[in-house]
Amino acid sequence: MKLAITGLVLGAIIGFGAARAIVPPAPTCTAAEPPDLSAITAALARIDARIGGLERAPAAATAPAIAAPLVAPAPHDSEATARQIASRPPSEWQTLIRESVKDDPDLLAAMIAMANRKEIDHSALAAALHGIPADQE
Amino acid sequence: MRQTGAISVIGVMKKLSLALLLVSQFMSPAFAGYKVDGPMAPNVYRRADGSLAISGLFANARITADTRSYVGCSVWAFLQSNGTVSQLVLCSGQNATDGGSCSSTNPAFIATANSLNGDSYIAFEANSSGVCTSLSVQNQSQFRPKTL
Repeated sequence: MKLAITGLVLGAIIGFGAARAIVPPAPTCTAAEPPDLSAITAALARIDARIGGLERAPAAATAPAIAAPLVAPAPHDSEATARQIASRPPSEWQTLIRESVKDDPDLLAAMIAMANRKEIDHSALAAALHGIPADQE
Repeated sequence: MRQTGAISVIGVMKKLSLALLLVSQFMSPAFAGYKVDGPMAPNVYRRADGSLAISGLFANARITADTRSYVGCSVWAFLQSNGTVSQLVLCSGQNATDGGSCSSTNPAFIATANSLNGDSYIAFEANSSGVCTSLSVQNQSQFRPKTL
């Protein structure tokens, strides 16, 4: 009987030891090391650098990047375009005017001003503008 | 003697008929109403500052003896390169010796030009840059209708 009890106790002790040897002990909070946050810290630092760089950048450095798309395109030199068209044969005026006016609505007034000053033939211009034949003479 | 009397009566009746015909013509209601003929060719007035004033009746410009006179406006609508649709009005006038035009993108000028009809009277002004500064349209009964 004593032998049986001793065997059970020894078996329990050996079995418990074997179980501990197989299953690693559960981690405990107190024993844990501080987490390695260096990667996160580095990433945040990079983001901060980018944001800070934008926020702290001198106005002169950021202004062109922001203002450039908002700057209105240079105004058309309607007078120069009008003179270019006027230098072409009147038979081409209608086509040239109708194409150019898509980008420069002030072109017509510029050409009309030339005609009103008699720098170009008014009848020819009116024919081009109104799409009617030139004078019958 | 009787023949002479008959001829005399016929002669009197002929004269009476002619007189009645003339009177009826002057009494005809077709000639009633106030009428303004105005100058035939469009008037082109040039100012020292380079501006112009042009006026004329469509019907009169149409029947001038010369082959140059006309007056009127065109209205355009076109798609600009930036994708927006623009409208503009062009008004021109020409007589035998002189002419001028103006243009505008102002909606008020475009609306005024759209009120023109085939028998209108038109007056417009252009500044030295060729831009319309005034546009007047009159559609009135005293103006003659356009003829071929």
